[in-house]
Amino acid sequence: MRILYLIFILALMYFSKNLNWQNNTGMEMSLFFGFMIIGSFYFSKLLSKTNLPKVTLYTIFGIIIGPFVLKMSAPEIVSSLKFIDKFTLIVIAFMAGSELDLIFMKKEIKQVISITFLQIFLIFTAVFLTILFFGQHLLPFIKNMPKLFVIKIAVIMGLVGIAKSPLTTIAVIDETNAKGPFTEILLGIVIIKDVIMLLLFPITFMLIGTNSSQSPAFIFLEIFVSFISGILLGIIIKYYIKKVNLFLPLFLFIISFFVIEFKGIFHYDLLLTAIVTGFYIKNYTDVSVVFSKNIKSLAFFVFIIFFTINGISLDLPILKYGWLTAIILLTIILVFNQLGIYIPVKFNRKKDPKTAYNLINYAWTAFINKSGLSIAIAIMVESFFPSIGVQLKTMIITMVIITDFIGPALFKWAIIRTGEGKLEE
Amino acid sequence: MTNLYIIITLLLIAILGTLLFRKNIFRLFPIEIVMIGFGVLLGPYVLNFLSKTENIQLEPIINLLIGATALFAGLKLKLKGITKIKEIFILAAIFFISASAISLGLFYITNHFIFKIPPYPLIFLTVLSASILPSYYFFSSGKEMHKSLISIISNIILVLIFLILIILTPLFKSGSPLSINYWLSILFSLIDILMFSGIMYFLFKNSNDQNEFLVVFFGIAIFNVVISYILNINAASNMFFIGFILANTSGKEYFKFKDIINSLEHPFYIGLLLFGGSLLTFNHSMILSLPYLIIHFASITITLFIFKHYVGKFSYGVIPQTGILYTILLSMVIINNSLLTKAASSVIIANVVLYTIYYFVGENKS
Repeated sequence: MRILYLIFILALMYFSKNLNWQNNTGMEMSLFFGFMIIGSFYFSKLLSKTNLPKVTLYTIFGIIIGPFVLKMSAPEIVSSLKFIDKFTLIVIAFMAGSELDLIFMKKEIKQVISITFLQIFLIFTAVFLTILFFGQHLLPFIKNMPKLFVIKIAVIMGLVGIAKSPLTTIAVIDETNAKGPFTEILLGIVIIKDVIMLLLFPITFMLIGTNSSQSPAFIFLEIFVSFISGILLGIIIKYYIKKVNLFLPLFLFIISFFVIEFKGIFHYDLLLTAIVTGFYIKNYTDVSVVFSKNIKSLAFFVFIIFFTINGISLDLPILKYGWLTAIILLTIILVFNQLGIYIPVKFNRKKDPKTAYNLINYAWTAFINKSGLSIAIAIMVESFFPSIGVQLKTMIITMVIITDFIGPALFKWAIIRTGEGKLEE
Repeated sequence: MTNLYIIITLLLIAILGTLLFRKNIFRLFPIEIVMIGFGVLLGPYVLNFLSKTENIQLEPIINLLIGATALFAGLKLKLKGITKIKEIFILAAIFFISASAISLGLFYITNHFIFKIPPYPLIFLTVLSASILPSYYFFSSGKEMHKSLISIISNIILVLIFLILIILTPLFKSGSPLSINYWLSILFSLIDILMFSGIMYFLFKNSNDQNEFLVVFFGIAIFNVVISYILNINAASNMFFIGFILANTSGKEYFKFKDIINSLEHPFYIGLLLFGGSLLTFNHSMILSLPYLIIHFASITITLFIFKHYVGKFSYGVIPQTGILYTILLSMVIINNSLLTKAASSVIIANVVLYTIYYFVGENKS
C-alpha cells in the first residue's frame, strides 16, 4: 500500500511541476517541503525490511529526487532550507551527550580502555599518514595546497577515521534485544570512545582553526565557556521540563536556535556546549528520560529534512571518483580497527575464551558505521574550508553512506551469530 | 537568517499564547483579540515583520495552519449523532439556505449603493454570515438547552459551508460553472479527498507511532494545501472532508492520536489568529465590513437573548467564534485575489469588533 502512496505523491509532484500555475516561490517551497517529508518518510518505511538505517534511506531519497536523477528540486529552495545544518549538529550533540551514563562508564572503563585507546592511536596514525603521503592522489582537490593545509586535512580525516556514533550501535542492540558480555564490552568501547572523541573533536577543531596569534589560554577559555554554557543550558531545560512541560521538541528547537545565535557573543563551541548539556541532563537531573524522548522526537524531523537535503546536495560527479578513495580509507580503518581489538583481546583471552573468540571474530562489525559525529565533522569542514569544503564534505558523507549501507546490517548479523541477540519476529 | 528569526518568534508567541490560553492567565482582554492585534502589529501596516511576500518561508507555515486546522475540524465531526435526528438535517439546510438568501439580499442592497462588488466574494461573505446565524436555537425544544443537538446542527451547517466552498472556489479562476476547467477542478477535488483520506486511513489503521503520525500529518497538510492551490480547489474544504471521512471510518483507531491532535489545537489556533491579523487589508474593508457587522450584530444579539431565555443568563460563550472561521478566511486569502482578501479582512474586522463588545457585555452581565 505504501508503494502506491509513494507513487501517487511522486506523480502528483511531477504533474504539478508541469502545470502552468502562477509562479509563486513561497508556494513552490511549501510544495517541495511537504513532498520531501512525506516522500522521504514513506521511502524509508517502504525499504525498512532492508535493515538499512533510516538516515541512509532519507539520503537515497534525496539523491533520487535531486538534480542528478528526477530533478524535482530547485536550488534556491534547497539553499533556503540549509539553516537546518546547524540544528542537526546540536541535536546530534544533545543525543550523544545524553547517551553517556556515568555509572556504566565507571563499571566498564578498565575492561575496554585498552582496546579504545589502541584503536584510536592506530587508526588516527594510519589515516593521518595515508593522507599526508598519498593525499594528493586520494583527494585530488588538495593538490597544490600548502603543506600546513594538507596536515590540517590529514588531522580531520584521522578524526573521521576514529569517529563512531553510539546511536546506530545502540539501535541495533535494542532491535535485537542483545544481552551478554560481547554486547556489554562493545557498548562500553563505543561509549567511552565517544566520550574521548566528543572532547577531541572540538579541541582539535579549535587548535587547527586558531591563528598563531591566538594564545592557548584563549582556547581553554573557549572550552571553559562551553562547559559553563552547556551546564546553564541544561539547568534552563531542566526547569522548563519541570515547570512548563509544554511542546518540548519545539522548545528544544528554540533553545538550539539561541545556542547558535549566542555563539557570536560568547564564543563557545557549539558541539561541546550541546554535549555538556546532554551529559548534565543525563547524569545530574531527574528529567533525562523526558529530555531523551523529546530530543529523539525532534531528531526524527530534523533528520528527515537534513538527510534528504543532504542527498539532494550531494555532488554526485565527485562521488564518481570519491568512492574508490572512500573504500581505500575505510579498508585501512577496518584493518587497524581489528588490530586494535586483536592485540588486547589476545593478551586477556584466558579470562573468558568464548567472549575473546567472539570479539576477535565479530567485534569489527560494530565499528564500521560512521554516521553521527562524522556528519557533524562534515558540516563543520564545509564552513571551515570554503575553498574545498564541499568536496571534503562529500568525501566524508560518501564514507558515511557506504558504511551506513553495510555497518548496521553486518553488526546485526554478528550479534545473531554470537547468540546474544535474536531476530525480530 | 531573518526568516528563521521570524519562525522562532512565531514559535515563541505560539507557546506563550497557548500557555496564556490554557491557564486562563490573561483576563484583561480575550486572547483571540490580543493575538489578532499582535498579528496587525507584526503585519505590513506596522512592523512589517510578517510579510508573506518578503519572507517566503512563512508560506509553508500558513499552509500548514490552514490544512491542519481544517483537518482537526473534520476529525471532530461524527456522523453517528446526525443519523439519530434525520429531520434536523432538512430543517438546518432549509434554515441555512433561507438565512443565506436574506444575507445575500442585505449585502446586495448595502453594497450596491456604496461600491460595485463582483458576485463571488459577495456569495462568500453571505455563506460565512449565514453560517453563524443562530439557527440551532430555533430548533431546540423545551427550557433545557440540548447541547448535542446544538453541536449536531452547527456541524451540519459547517459541512454545508465547506460543500459550498468546494463548488464556489473554482469559479474564482475558471469564471463560469459551464466551463470544462470548472468541472475538472471539482473532479480533482474529489480525487484529492479520496486519495489523501486513503493515505491517512492507512496511517490510522497501521501505525501506533506518534512521530509517524506527525510527519504524515504535517506533510499532507502542507503538500495538499499547495496542490489545492495549483488545482484551483479549496484547501480548507478538502482537508475538512479528509478529516470527516477519517473520523467516520477509522473507528477506535482515531483515539490513538487523539492526544496529539488535542495538544496541537491551541498553538495552531494562536498561529491562525496571528496570521489572520497580519494579512488584514484595511483598504475598503472597513466599508465592506459594515453590512457584515450589522447582520452579525443582529444574529448574535438574537442568539444571546434566546440563550438567556433558556438558561436564565447571558453567556458570551455561545458566540460561535471558532478557529475554523479563520481557517476558511486564510484559505481564501492565499488565492491572492484582492477582492477576496478584502472580503476576508472585512469579516475579521467585524468579528474583532463584535467579539470585543460581547466579551465585555458578557463579562459584565454574567
